[in-house]
Amino acid sequence: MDLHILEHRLKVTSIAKQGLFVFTHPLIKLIFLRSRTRCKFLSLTETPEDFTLVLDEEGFKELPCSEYLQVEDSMWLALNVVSNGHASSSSQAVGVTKIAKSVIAPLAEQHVSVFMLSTYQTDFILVREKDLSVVIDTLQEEFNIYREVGGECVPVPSQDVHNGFQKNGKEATKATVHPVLSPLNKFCVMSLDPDTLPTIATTLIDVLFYSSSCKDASHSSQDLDCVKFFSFSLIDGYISLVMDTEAQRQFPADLLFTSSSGELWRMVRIGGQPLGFDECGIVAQISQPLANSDISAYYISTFSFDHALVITTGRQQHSWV
Amino acid sequence: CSLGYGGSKPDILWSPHHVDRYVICDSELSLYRIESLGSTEAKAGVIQLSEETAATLLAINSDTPYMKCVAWYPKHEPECLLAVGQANGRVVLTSLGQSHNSKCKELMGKEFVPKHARQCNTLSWNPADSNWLAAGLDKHRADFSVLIWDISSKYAPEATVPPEKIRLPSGDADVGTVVTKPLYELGQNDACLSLCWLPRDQKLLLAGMHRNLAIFDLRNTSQKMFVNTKAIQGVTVDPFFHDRVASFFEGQVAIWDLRKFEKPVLTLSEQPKPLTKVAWCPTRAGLLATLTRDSNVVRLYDMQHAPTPIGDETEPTIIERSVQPCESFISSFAWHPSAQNRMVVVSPNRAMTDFTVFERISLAWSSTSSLMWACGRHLYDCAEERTGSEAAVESDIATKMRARAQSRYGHDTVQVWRNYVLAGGDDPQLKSLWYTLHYILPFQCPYLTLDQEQKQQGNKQTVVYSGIKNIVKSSSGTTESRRSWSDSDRQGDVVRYHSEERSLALRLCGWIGRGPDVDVEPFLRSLEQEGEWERAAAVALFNLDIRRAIQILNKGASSEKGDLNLNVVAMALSGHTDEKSSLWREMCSSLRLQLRSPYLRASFAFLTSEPGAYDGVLYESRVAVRDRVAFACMFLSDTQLSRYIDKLTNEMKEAGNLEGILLTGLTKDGVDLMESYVDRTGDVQTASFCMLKGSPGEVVKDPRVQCWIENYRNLLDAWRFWHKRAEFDIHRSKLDPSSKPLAQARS
Repeated sequence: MDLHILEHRLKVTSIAKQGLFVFTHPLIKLIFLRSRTRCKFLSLTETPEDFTLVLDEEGFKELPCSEYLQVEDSMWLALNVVSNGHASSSSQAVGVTKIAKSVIAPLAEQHVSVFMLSTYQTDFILVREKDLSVVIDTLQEEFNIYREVGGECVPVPSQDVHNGFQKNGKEATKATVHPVLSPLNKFCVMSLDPDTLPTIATTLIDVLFYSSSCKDASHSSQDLDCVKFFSFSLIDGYISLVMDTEAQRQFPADLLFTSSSGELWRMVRIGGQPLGFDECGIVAQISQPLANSDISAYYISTFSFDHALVITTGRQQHSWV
Repeated sequence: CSLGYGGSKPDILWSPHHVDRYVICDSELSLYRIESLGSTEAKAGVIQLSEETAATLLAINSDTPYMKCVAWYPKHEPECLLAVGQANGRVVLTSLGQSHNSKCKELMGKEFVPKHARQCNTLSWNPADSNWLAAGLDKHRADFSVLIWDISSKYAPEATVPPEKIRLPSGDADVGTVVTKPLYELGQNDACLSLCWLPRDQKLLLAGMHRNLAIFDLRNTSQKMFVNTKAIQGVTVDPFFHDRVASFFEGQVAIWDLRKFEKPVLTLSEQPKPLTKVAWCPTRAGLLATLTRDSNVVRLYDMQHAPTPIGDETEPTIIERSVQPCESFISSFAWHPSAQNRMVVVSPNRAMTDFTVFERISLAWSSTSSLMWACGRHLYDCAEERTGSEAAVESDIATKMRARAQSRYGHDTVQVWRNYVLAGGDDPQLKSLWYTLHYILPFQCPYLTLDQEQKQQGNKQTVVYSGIKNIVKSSSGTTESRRSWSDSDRQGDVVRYHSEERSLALRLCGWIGRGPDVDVEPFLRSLEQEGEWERAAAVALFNLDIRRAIQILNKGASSEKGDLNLNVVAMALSGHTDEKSSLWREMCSSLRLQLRSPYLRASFAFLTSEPGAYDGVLYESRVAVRDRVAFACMFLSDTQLSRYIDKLTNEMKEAGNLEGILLTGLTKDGVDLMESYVDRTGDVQTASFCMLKGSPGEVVKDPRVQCWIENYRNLLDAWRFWHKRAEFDIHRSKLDPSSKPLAQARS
């Protein structure tokens, strides 16, 4: 297995819902006018709490300073596991499940905080740039590690594990068991030919920026049966969308791609209080049992909470909760 | 083809088997037939593609929306079966025009659907098993990006998904025509941008994946060979060299050797704009055509002479050039599958141009003066043709030298004049040269023609050797005598000059023999023998023997092939009178210019001239230099003679006229003269032989002479005349002892 350290240098930010108007212009530019920006990594996720925006430095420059924008101080790097044809297992489980044992658990043991971002195309594991040497130390036994430089993959020389090995410097906190919440709405994970993005522009703008205005009326006494969750990402030219079936109905059926099985997913939100960025082992906590049961999952971290998506078919898959 | 057709950029594909059909793909598929213009001119709807060809639209297929790539079925039948890769990753089989082929009907509309929808970037039919169709798709986290479909496979009932759950824009997809189970799945969690089957083995597939090129071996799908690179687009195998592969990234083309699949064997110069297509010419080895966005030129890289070096770090040379098939931008191009170097290009507005890349012409002279040039697959040999006696064009000097070398030209050291005959006997300048050398050399090498008198005159040797110009300069004690015509008893008024040097000059001119005898008669007889009647008559006349001159002319008129007009000339001569105001004189001086023979013109000029004023003879340029010089030595005073010889010498030097060697001898002057001769003719052979005779003088050491000699030796080498070269070297070492003994090559 290969682990690629991607070139993107990322910022994790949160836009307060009431401040969205300040950011609509840069967001529209970043999403629809790709030729006008150098941004190559953009992920926008709407939750009931906020809009979590993860984007590279070039994209970050487009954002205005505002009291509504919260920025996590660190620079984050994206890791990507590439199976590289050496199919190690016949397991059909993919996504976070696949990398739970090899990446997430070892990093948790070394107290490296991770920010997960699954897309239609792949899973990104975001780590802080300052943790990179620990990450490399931790994972180099399991992986051939490459760093992407100018589009080329350059092997990262193996570090001497015993010499210069540095712990993250944090005390191992006893794993907190966070409350989880599983809303009833079902989600689908989809993609889109970037050429047809203009065709769905109005719908996308509507869903992204005006969703609350129309829905709050009908769901004012919002119970926890349904939770607003919509994620759009445009990374290296690939589009990925996660939305519930209600939102999906607003899009023209023949433009969005998904699996031919038409699989639907249930979401599990982790955390009762905002989780913060320093606690480690949350993803590991969730993903380990999934991996043990060989259950496919998506995992999307946001500024406040983590979200795991698991496939709806097969009742036994929910038993882990 | 890995272009998306969502925009307006049309691509073009030639039918693999029907050499007159091609398809333009943009939002729809249009089938065209290409024909020569003559046969279709009158018909409507014909689009002219070039001066000679035109295309007719045969069919349009707009059944398949969201086309991303198209690949033409590689077998002869069904004829117009196409695989179309769509934006959602589905591959649809479709056809153009009507086909009554049952197999085609069965396959038409068949769809191959991946588990997870995403763009289909590329398609490639297996050239060996035409049921296998490889599709390259974009990345999906859980799915494979290279799917190999078997187009003959039936709908798989064991598929996990009931057909009613398929939510894709498949339209009224017939259940029986949808295939969801690929034969092979490769490249999990990766993206495939380009694909091509390797001709080495039916089960080897080369794929441009995300940031690497991979070779999948279907015999063992868990393994793959790969190399990390950015150049992953447009992978294509050289049809003439199956280990050579081209791929590209943005503006750069990388050429790979699959036997050394670690890094590109070479990368082509980077283009400022991103490339859109790279294709090997199927009809010409090692020719790669590339196209960039917004460009009206196709750039060609000729790697014909650059077989990929293995284990050699030096980059092979490639010849790069551009061709411009049309004025507008080129959207795409396609090489014709069989017509040599032919392509059709299509512009963004669908204008099409039929274009043939003209091959560079390479040209080579052989050392035997034949010329050869190559253009495309044609080789032209242009040899000199001897058209018998009426050779319209004079042979090239190289041809002449080669023939002369074969006839041992220059090697006759005894009868030196004979070298002129060996040279072909048709060049008056060579004749003069070799006769001059013939007359000079006995003086130079006295032991060859032993003669008491000459031995005594040993000190004259160098003078003789340095030409008449120097001889007459050294002249002293000139006497003059008044001579009259041999048949006249009157005291003549013709003044003739004598001196030892003048006699020597006459001898070098060949007029008189050796010894004290100054009789011109032997010379006249030899001229008669050669049938040079006019010249002999003139020489007799210049010796004031008018009766002998008349006799010669009569003889000439009565000889075989003789010219009867010579009798008329004799008649005119016989009327000669000294009377200054006679009618004869008047008529002779005015009519003589109409005579064709320069010698007859000179003769009458002499007869009608005032004493001491002989310009009519001296400047009659077609009279041989030796005769004019001999004449001058007889009739010009010392001052006149010296001035005349100087003037003539300069004239000869400037013209590079070998007759002038008589004047210059084998001196530095002579080398100057020879230099302009070589400049004019390139005849280093004559120059070498001539100047070698000058040994052991300074002339041989002259760098110009050494240069001629070396060039002549190289020529002999080039002609593979090894024996002639050896002979020449021996000859040279005899004449020029200073020339280095040549090393023996032993093997």
